[in-house]
Amino acid sequence: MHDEETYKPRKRQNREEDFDSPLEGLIIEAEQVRNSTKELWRLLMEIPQNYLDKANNEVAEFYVTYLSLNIVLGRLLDDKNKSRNKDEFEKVLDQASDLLEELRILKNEIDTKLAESAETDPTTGPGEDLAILPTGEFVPNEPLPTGKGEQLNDNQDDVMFRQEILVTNLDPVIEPEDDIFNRSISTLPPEERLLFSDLETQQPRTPEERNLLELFMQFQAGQREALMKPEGGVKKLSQIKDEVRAVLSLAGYNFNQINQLFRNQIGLITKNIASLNSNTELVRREKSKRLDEAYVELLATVTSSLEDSNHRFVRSAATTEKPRSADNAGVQEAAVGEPEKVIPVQPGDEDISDLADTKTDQNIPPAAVLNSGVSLDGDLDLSQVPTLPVSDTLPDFLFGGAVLPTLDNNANSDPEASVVEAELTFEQTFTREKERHFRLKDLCSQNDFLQRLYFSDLLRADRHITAIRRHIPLMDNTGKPIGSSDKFKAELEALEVINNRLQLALEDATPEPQPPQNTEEAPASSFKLDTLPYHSPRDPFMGLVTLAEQNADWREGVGLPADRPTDYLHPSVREEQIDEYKYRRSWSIEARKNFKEAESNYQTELKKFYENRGFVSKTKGAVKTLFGGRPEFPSELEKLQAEYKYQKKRYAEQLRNALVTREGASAGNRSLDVTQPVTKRAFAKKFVIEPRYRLLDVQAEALETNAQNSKLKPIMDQMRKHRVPLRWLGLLAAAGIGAATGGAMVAGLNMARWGVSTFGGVAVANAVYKQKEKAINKASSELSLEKERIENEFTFEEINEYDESLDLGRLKVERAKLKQKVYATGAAVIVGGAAYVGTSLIDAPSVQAEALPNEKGVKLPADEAIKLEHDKRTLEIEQRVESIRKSIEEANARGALEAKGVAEPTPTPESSPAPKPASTPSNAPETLPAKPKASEVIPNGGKPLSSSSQGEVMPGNGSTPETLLQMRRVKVPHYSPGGELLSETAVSNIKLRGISTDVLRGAMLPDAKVNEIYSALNTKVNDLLAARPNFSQAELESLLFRELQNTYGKEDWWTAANINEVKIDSIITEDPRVGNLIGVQAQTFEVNPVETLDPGESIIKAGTSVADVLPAKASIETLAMEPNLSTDQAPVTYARSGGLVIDADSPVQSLPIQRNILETVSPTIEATGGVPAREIPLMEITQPKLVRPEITSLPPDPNLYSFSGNFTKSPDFVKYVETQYGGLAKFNKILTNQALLVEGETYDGFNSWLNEYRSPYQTVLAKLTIGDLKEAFDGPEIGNKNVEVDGTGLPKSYNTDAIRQWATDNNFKYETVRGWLVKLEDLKQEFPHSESTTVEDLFAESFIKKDWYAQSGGKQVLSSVGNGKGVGI
Amino acid sequence: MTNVNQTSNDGAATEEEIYAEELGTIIFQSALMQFLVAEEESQTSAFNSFIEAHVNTDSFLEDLCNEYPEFEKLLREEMSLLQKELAEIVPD
Repeated sequence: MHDEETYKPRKRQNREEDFDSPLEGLIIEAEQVRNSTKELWRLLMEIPQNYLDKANNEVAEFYVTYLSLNIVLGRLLDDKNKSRNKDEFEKVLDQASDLLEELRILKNEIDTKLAESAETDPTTGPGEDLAILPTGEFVPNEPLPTGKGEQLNDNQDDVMFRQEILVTNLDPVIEPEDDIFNRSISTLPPEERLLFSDLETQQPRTPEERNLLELFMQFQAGQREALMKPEGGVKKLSQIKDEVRAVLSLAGYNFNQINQLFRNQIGLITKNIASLNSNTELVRREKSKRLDEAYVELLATVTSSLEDSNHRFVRSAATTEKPRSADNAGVQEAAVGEPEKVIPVQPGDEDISDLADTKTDQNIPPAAVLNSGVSLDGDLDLSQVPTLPVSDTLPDFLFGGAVLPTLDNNANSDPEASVVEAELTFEQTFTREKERHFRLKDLCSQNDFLQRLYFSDLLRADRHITAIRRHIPLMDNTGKPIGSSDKFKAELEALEVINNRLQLALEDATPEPQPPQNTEEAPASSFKLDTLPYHSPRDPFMGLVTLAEQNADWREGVGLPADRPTDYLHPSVREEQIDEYKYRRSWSIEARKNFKEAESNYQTELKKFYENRGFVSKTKGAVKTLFGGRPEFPSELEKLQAEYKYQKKRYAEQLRNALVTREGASAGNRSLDVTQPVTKRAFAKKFVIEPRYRLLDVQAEALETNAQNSKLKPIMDQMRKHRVPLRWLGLLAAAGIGAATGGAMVAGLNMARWGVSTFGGVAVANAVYKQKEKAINKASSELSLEKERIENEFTFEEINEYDESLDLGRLKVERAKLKQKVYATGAAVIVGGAAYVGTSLIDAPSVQAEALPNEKGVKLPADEAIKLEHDKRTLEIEQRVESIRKSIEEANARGALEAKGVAEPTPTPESSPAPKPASTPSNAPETLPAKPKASEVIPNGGKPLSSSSQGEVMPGNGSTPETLLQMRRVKVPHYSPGGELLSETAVSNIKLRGISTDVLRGAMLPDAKVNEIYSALNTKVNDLLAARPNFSQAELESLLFRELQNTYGKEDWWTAANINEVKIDSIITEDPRVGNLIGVQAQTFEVNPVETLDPGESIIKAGTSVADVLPAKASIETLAMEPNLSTDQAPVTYARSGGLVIDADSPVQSLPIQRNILETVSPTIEATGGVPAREIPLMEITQPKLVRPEITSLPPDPNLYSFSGNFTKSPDFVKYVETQYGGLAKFNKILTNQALLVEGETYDGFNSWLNEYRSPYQTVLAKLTIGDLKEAFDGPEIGNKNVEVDGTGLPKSYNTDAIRQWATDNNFKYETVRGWLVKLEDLKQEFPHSESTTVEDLFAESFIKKDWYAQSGGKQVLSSVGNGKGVGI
Repeated sequence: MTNVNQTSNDGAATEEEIYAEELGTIIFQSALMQFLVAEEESQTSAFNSFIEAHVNTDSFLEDLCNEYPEFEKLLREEMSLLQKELAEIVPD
């Protein structure tokens, strides 16, 4: 839209300085644009389609512009929280404003076009129905039905008011909502709205309603001519249409039927009238005459059409006569004065009359079934069509209240017929719910509190009703929705939910009803709320009569029988069901009474308590006793609280029972489905939310005397203004319940419209997950910075502070992870749940504005799977957080000891296991230890630590099967035979297996005992380490087992736990002289010369000879110092990773390192007289130490071998690795390990600890070609030697978003992938390659080259694989 | 003050959204009242400022909990209480 070069921001409507933040004014402006957009759309939609057809092009352009604008607005407002950049936001806002201007122009063009069309073609143009304002606005030229006058005046308010009601007045032919019911309702001011269709139960409030009612009553009284008697004077065609429609509606035609009939007939009449376009007196008279004639003609035409189309009318009367048999053709006269209803049956409908003869239903009282027809003379001739037993489709108050649903006696003999009868059409259900709503609304209006409390409900119900009306034309002849009925159902369900909630509220608000047994004795004027239905949309019979009973006087006044049947239940209800319902209901009423009393007592005393406590002066401790549902109340108050809770719960249970019984007592024997979300939420609202609000009010009152009160309201106002956080909290709370109830509790909570995402289901979860990842990354980044700061600024005196700082940083990361996973899962639960409940609809503009991306169906996970995953993740993360918290607490506790010079272990993320690939191939290390940090080597003056100084240990996490013994700051000195300190080894974590928490708990040991054992374990390990600098893992394990056995072997739990080994799972040591060597080495070497074991697979059992596993000469020598072991037990050979057999007596070139072996280079030095055998090249930091025979061959020279594009497939390469690495498999294993090592440098301690990421190289990257990467991420041109790179070395052409997305999708760390690409660019500069060259080719070639230099004795110091750029790969 | 219906109806909110918002309001306000009374004036003023500055950010809740762990604790407690109450009351 905007040219980047010429764009200039618009002048803003809101001044920035008037708002707290620069964006706030812009956001408000954006919302104003959106509102204006919606208003334009609404105005356009008010113009009937047949008129709009005259401006097709403009309308089409309007649609397109509107859609574009909504997309822009949707992005703008959805991202308003993300768009921190004011300029960017402003630019998009200006785009939206431009589009809005275009939209306005188009709307004006449409109006102009329609006005022109009206002038040139009055028969099809707006004619009398529309008018053009002086402003050019297109508005209805329609008299107000509220008695404000029939002629359009220039009053703008009236014009706007007409605009509001335009939708229901313009085209009664095709707009079903234009029936007189809805028009009357919708055109009344809200405060005066009256349920027009409920005329019998309410006093009419407008002359129009009264006139129509009288007309109807006359018709009901048998004065057929009343229908055909138009009022005198000039009437507008639309009025005539409305009246005809109203009469037909009251007579029983449904909207669809009326519309169908009108559609064919009204056109001619309309044209006839509209042709008189002049406004002369003569023409007006002529028009008046024609209108009068049209009125008669219209009804006659319609009724004739009905007859011609074999439409049949049924009138049911409130008699107790049995229906006539089929042989009398169903002609049954209604009693004079009896009300009647007329229901048309469309051609093609099932001829239910055929069922009349055979149906029998003992539960259904007989009813007179009358035939009806409409004669050409306008009278309704009810004797001309056969009797039809039909289901009741309209409220029986339309029939004077004496009519019960008309069913033939034989109805139930035919199952199919029963289905037909039981099946309420959508329209019928809607009619019932609509009427119930207006009744409830009217009742609410009598109670200020309820009206205020449920104001939004009332408004929303009106919107649902309006929305449903719009869909009515899409019904078939039977009143069922055509095509997708989801929207209809969703609207109707939403309406029902509101009705149910209103009814529950009214139950509480109304005076205590009479006990059921006294119902009949209750004054007719008192409202008996329990007669209102709390029912499913399918129930046609409940609660539609009793209100009319209240208006007996009025009924008499309008000539209706005053007596109404008191048995409002459907006659099919069995007596025992009624009795049970009454019984249950009485319990429910009693429970409510008790609850109200208990609540009142509790709140009264609660207020007193607050007042007496002097709230202003409350201390922190006292505060805890006052709020939050955990008050330490006086005993009396506690009793009241307990009583309140009990009564509330009891009332909920009793009400549930009563409702279920009542539903069970209705026709169709349907039960209230309490598993439905709508029902659950209704209960939650009534019994949890509202009572809690009342309690909060009491508490807030207490705050009134407190200075802090001034903070409460502004904060809550802020929170309510921004809503999303509150909804998140509610979401989480509901998700907790939802998880426990299979998601039903939260079903329908559509996150897509919470400003979180515009996608649904899993997509929402993913979006949320990614969104929360930013918080994790932020916390991780902060933690890394903190680590770096500590490394740079380390001082021994501040060591405790460092620990706390690091732990807190880690806690932040964990907390972020927790929230990420819980939120994401919650979103999936909730949006997933919405799939089967159906989300609520919103207005069309909103749908287009906010839900466009959601048109695609999203496959949602099963609720159960979500629930399990949610539980699992929540538990997992909570455990981690709890573990960290515990470690912090213990670290704090140890702080006191350390302050006295006692070194204590603390957890170190760096020493934890490294990332674990999702699928670990056999040739890959199981774990990858992260690079130990120099900062963790704690100098202690070179003196060995005594066992006493090792102190206690942190017990392992009780929920994990393995135990980490935190041994940080434990240092092991190494002395020469002469007593000279050669080196010190810092020991990091030691993980013990064999004596796990599970084992100990399996022995039924109390926690205190478990802790004691672990403390002893740690002490003994430390003792051993302090006393014996050089030893093997096996030795340590054996000795440790022996020590423990000596201590605990005679205890029962030892035997019960069947402990026969102590397994040291991982020991990482560090020597300050060799930096990271140990940590890096401790993963690649194998133990057994015969059996290749993966790291961690060597199981050392008690009694096993250490010779089986001792590979190192140093260890052998060490063992020789142990009286119980001899060097004879030591192995003479062991395997190298290269598969070569090395004689133990041969010169040791480097120290063999075995995973799980506590070992340093220093012992080797010591063993050879304290002189290093050779200097270990730095390259070994990342290079597995290979002991090879003399290197006699050169690596494949890129300048010599025949380049084929794939180095690893070249014969030279194969030959070389066979020679130097023992074969391709061995080499690949080494190469993969090497890749994992370099990747590990991009992980922080938590990545490693949590095994968060998969290895890109190991899973997919190795086999990707340069061409693949170029295509996927817009990599640089192949062969370009002058690739432009950014500051990190990454070619600028790469699409980092795509890289990030790919990494996220595959659970790779972005920095890892990015590092590879940086590295790859370096390799491409160094080695020949082509489009088909793989990452593995280049990496292998690089590795071999560097390894050759290192192994060949060259002193060339190789840099790490990382190039110092980017992330260090 | 505590009638969420009055403040949550924006003309577009769905039934379910309002329901969630009501739950969230209960949780937040309950925790807030405890927090306001328990903390010093200076602390609550800072808290207020923090909310004003961050409430419209994506990571508001996380940031809030990170900044005020005590408040997070209160939120969790209130959430737990509400969940427990819902589980007791709502029929299953």
